[in-house]
Amino acid sequence: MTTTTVHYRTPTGEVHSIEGTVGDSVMVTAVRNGVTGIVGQCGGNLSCATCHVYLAEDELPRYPEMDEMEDEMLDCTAADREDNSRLSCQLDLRAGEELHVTIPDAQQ
Amino acid sequence: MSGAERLLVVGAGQAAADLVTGLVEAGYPGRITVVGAEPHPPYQRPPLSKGYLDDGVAEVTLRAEHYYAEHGVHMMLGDPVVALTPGRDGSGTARCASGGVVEYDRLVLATGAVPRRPAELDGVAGVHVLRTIEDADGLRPELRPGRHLVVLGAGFVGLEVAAAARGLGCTVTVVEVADRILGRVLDPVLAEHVAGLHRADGITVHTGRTVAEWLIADGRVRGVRLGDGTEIGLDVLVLGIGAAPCTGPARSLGLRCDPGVLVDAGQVASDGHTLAIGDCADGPDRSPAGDPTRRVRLESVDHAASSARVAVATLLGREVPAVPPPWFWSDQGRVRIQVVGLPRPGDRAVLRRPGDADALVVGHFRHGQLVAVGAVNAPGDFMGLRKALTHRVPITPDELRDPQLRPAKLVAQRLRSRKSNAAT
Ligand SMILES: Cc1cc2nc3c(=O)[nH]c(=O)nc-3n(C[C@H](O)[C@H](O)[C@H](O)COP(=O)(O)OP(=O)(O)OC[C@H]3O[C@@H](n4cnc5c(N)ncnc54)[C@H](O)[C@@H]3O)c2cc1C
Ligand code: FES
Repeated sequence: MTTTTVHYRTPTGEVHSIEGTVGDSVMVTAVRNGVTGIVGQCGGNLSCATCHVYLAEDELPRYPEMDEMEDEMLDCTAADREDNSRLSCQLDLRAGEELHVTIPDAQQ
Repeated sequence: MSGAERLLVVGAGQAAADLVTGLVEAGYPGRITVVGAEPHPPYQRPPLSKGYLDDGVAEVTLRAEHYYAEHGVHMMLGDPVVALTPGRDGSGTARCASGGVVEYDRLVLATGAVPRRPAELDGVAGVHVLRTIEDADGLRPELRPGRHLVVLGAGFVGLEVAAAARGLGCTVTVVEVADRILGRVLDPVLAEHVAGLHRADGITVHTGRTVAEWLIADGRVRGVRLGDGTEIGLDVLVLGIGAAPCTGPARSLGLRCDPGVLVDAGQVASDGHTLAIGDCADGPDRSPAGDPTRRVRLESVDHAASSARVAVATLLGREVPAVPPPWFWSDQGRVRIQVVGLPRPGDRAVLRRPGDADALVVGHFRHGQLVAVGAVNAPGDFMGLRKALTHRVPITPDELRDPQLRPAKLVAQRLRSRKSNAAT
């Protein structure tokens, strides 16, 4: 099983680096490992917006443009939306690409 | 009590996982043991009636097993609690099927619910309910193209299975006793809209029909005869007629149940000590403009999470937190339903047509105040209106109705001006 590392920065600045499975989402990797602050209530169905993260600016271009649904959901997240806001259930881990995300201070 | 409090959680599902996580994050000083009847660590059920039926690979586990070990949580899985013996002040002893005994100082019941199933169908092949991974694994190979699936009960789980099976190429018939689908939870106009979308996808939906007889041959269900005499032949029968809360352990302690374990605003049961959370617990109505003296049954991931959050506060002796308005979602093929709040008969229903023909939103107003929202294929509108309810941002019927107004924008504006007003 190929793995890669996701670095989760908490609102207070701590960083949790988690070895995740390629193909899993950033949300699932967080939930599995008990990373506080990423809830993922709907399990990645684009129904809850409790998996909001800020993705490192230089890693944004790795992913295709978000679809309309994610865009609309991001307008309603608990913490303010920023230019680098994404729903982490829509970000999959890829071989050889570490990720850096910051967790917002609220999800619901 | 000497040493750390020994906390026992009975049931290892969604609510138990949320409780354990909450306790770990809050630095709960006691020792936690979780006893679960199923052999799996807590997992998500929603995918079982959706993506999992399709590919069987959807990941459903919540926390990885190492999470519990790392935080000193003792998991005893595949070993149901068969008897509870009360001691003093909420303490007691649990006996498991294996003969194992667990002594506890404090108890949380998180036993969930089990699907209803008529006794005359016991042991009959071709009959399925859907609650566990094993249920889904048993149903999946039956849903082959061209086979005829009959779903009894047009609730959320039933309709999700119907839509998934249709997507897999089955012929699908849904039989509902009430005169409309999703009667318990959805506004009639919205429910009719959903029925229309399913019919357009080729699902046959019969409402107002009862099953008079099961047609069984050679130990396998072959059909049903309806109350009006119609016979429907079938290959697979799925029962989606609701779930009954698992209250055996609660009753053995003498706790009041009706039908779920009755709990107060802190999730505490009638003995004043034991807590109950998730699907097995009937708690006060905490919905917007709800009546907290009324007990409600909520079976949703959100309720598991909210009730667990409240229980964490109770166990730590902290003030009970405010919980956001109850909500849930249901994905039925291309039909995406989201509901927040608890609509009641007598509320004024206001329709919103967001433009897309498949989308429809209903706002429920009580004494002029928005109290609940149901949405089909309108996640953006839904999230905006849900945020309005969470933050008590007023929305008028005219604003809700106006397809040009985006709820998310309106709510953001009002929250901003509220903030700046508070600052001045
Ligand atoms: C097919 C399906 C689809 C769903 N889809 C959605 C959805 O889309 N959206 C949504 O919001 N909700 C959905 N739900 C509801 C949601 O999954 C439940 O509300 C949630 O799982 C409740 O969590 P719980 O912990 O209370 O119960 P459960 O998750 O059922 O866990 C209870 C556990 O306790 C165990 N137990 C029972 N008795 C004992 C005993 N005596 N000793 C030890 N263990 C015991 C049970 O075996 C079970 O493992 C769905 C449910 C199902 C079944
Ligand atoms: S987990 Fe629900 S939207 Fe991402």
